Amino acid sequence: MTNTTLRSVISDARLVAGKDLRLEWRSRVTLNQLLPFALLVLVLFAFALDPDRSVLKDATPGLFWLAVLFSTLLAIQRAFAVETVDGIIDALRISGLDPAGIFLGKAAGIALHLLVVEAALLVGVTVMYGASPSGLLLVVATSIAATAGLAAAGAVYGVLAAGLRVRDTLLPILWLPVVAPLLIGATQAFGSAYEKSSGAGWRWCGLLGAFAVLYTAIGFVAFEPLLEES
Amino acid sequence: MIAVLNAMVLAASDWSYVAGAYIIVVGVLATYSAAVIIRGRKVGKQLPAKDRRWSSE
Amino acid sequence: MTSSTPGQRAGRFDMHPDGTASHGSRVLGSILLIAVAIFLIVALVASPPDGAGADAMGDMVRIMYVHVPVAIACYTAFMVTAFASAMYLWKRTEGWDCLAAASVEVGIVFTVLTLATGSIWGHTAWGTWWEWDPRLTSTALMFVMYLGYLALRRAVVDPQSRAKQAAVLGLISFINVPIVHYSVDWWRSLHQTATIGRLDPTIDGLKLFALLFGMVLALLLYAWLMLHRFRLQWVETQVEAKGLDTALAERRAEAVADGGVR
Repeated sequence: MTNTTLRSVISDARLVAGKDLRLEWRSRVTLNQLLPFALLVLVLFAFALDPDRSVLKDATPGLFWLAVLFSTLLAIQRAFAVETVDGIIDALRISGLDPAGIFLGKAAGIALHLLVVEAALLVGVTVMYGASPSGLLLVVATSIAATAGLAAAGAVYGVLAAGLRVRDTLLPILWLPVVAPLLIGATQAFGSAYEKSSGAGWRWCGLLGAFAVLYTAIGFVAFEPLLEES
Repeated sequence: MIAVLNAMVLAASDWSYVAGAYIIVVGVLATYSAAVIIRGRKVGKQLPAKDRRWSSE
Repeated sequence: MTSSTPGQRAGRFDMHPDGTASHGSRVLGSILLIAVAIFLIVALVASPPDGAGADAMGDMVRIMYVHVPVAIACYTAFMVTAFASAMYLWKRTEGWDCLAAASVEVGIVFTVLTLATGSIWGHTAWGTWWEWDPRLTSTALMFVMYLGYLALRRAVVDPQSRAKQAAVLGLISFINVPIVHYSVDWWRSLHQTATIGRLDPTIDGLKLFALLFGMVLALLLYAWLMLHRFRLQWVETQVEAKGLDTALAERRAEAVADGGVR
């Protein structure tokens, strides 16, 4: 890829992400629905597991990332639902924007939503589960790496399911097994961040980063044929 | 005596696992093959033989 | 691959006129029937139980003679799907799409068998039907992934977009398999290292023969199933295309008839 095409990809990505964020700013769907949903999941976990704080505290890394995973599903569906109404996706397809740029923009939009959700969840588990991380740097690095992977894979599978009548039920069974490695990695990394030993945590963090890079590459290649058919 | 009996019971239960595994494998493969062949005959009716290259008509 | 002259058709290999069988598939099928019978005798009767030793498997070793072969067949099936998907994206001919779709379904059958036999073996080794063994766990995830592939095929109406989307998914899914496998492997290795399929490397004689025989047999069974399943897929594709054509023609005829009346 030459330098100029890379630059146009990035500017296209910025255009798409900017549009999605402006849309969010006007509709406040994330603020009014996604955040409450994520926090609700935290409360539901407490109901399911016992109000006993020690259980919740021990399970915090896994519960945190499960809550993120469920919220991501909603974020992906939202990101592509705004495109499929009124044939906007056709407009996107013939807009002349680089498909790789559209992919990057969509993924960036989802990622930003997720980072907000994760920040809220971090406060949530600290307050409600009484779990405070000791390796804050690892927590931040893990969140960024895992979010990038979730968003990149989410954009790929989101466009695959977009436009189908069964998209809401199809997306979870296509996407969740794929991001199972992310759930494992992020949970393990958080586990070591919350238990004060950061040795294996950084290794898992590296795995998350590798996943994000891989799925960004897949998105660059696969988004064009998928967008054509969605 | 009891040791022998124990060994026999253990061996028998081993064999029931082995038999179960083989029955499942053979049964599932046979059922699936039959299903595919029957489905093929049903759908094949809707297509003239000249469009089915393997058919020797 | 399976052409036959009319003369050969008569006699034992008489085929159903509408079926997916051909002379070649009949011959392969007959050989396989005999081979399966021989395999069952070798695996269940002729070969000795696993010998003495601390972790000897006894008669349970016989489960390995089917578990390992069906596992190999399921990975082969998904490899064929990935290859056919790539070929479809390159050549854009429906044959490759049919091959990919057929191979996924056959692969899922073998995956179910892998999970079932692995779970049965695990029950005697660990005492529970399901242990979070890396291989079993990643196979289960792979199973769900390819069920999703079939679900996508069913969801897309237009044949061309279905083929294209499925091809992309078939390729990505195959990339996912090793990622899932290694992450689960790494995850479990923190806790334990129990793994199915730890066969004694010095395994020899009839036991080794039973295992290798099983592997060859499973791959041939896969090939035979694919002959039938691929043809079924092909016929379904043709019927679907034809159905669209005739529906359009009928619609057109109706329109003409209506015009004539008025």
